[in-house]
Amino acid sequence: MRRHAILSALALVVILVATLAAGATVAAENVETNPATEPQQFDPPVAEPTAEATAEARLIRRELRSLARAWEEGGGRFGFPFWEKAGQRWTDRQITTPMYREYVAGYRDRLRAGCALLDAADIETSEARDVRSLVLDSCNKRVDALRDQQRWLDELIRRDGTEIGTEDDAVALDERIAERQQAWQEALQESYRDARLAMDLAQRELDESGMERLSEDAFI
Amino acid sequence: MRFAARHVHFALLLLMAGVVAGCGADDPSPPRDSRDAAPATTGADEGDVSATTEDPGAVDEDAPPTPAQLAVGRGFERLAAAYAPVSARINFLVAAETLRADAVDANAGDDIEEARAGVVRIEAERMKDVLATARPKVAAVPVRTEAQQQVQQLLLEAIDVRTRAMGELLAAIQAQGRGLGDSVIEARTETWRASWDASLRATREATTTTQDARAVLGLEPAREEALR
Repeated sequence: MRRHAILSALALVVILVATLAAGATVAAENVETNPATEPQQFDPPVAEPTAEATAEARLIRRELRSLARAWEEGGGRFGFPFWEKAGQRWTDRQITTPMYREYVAGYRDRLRAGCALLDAADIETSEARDVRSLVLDSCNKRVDALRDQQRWLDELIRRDGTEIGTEDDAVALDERIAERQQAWQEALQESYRDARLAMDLAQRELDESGMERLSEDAFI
Repeated sequence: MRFAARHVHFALLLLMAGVVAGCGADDPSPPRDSRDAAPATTGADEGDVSATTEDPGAVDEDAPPTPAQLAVGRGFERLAAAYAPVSARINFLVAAETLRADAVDANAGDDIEEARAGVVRIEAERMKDVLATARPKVAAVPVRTEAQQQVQQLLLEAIDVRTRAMGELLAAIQAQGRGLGDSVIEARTETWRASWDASLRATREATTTTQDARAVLGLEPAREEALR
């Protein structure tokens, strides 16, 4: 009888321990995976920005605005949309290759000055410096792209306008055209990517500083 | 007999303990959401690829993409194709509006301003047509992953906001043409600019979402200017 009581007590202890262990496991899993039981996330109390922090935020915005202005003056406003529109009209055979080439050269020259403007912008904050680095990369790559695009168009003009000597010459010219096309298209994609990343970063920095965002077309 | 009963009793208690412990240790967690519970098959057009709403996981960079990853990539391409006419038209409008605004800023004269406003009106109407045509096409693209769903929503948002922006732009031009007060012109210009900005923001976010998702899948980046 006594032995039975001891065994029963032992079993009850085992059940108790097992139940507690199981409960703890389920609770731990719920914390990890069940959003309903996750502890409520409260935003930490936002401290009133100090005068210094506000001044810093304003400085970041001012510097990002100056980068946007440099980009706009350096081809964002009068270069890019017209060049791209010309490209579509050329594709649709509404303008000639030499005419399109002029758009390319015009945008490239304007953009070169734009890259210099970006480089010369007076930037103090690390946030704006990071954005400038991306915008400047985008600008330089776009200049490269436009230079290669112009060379590509030169080859197309040559192919269309002159007698190509031997068949080997024609093959070599076609290869050069294909290479140039690939080069400008790759550089252009990189330029677009860096401009987008610059905008992603700039808007994030402004959100974090509690400042108004830039116009979305600032670095297009 | 009594001894045997005691042992049976003890064994039952131990068994219960084991069951209780087992429930905690081995039961899978409840699904976090419906996609864990029931993978959706929406990719009827994806051949034999098993379509789920989960993105196929990150891949070894050197390994070629699997058929499932390529199928997801094609989903993004279908979204871009449905939206492409909008992206292709955007700079016709931007160029026209740049010239009109420049004429106004430079006081180029009523004739020039009116002529340029006329071009903007034509482009805005074209853009509205393009947006109206693109909307059902974008909405009809079957989406298989969360990222694709997000991109589709962003594109629909961009279309809706840009459609509104076109009406607001025409209203701003009309205010200018009729010589309404500066405050009216300014307010209408700000309104259309805000909507335009919101549409550009949606397409930028759609591009970032697309490129990030493709990178995770080990796919080539999409054309950066595809969604504008």
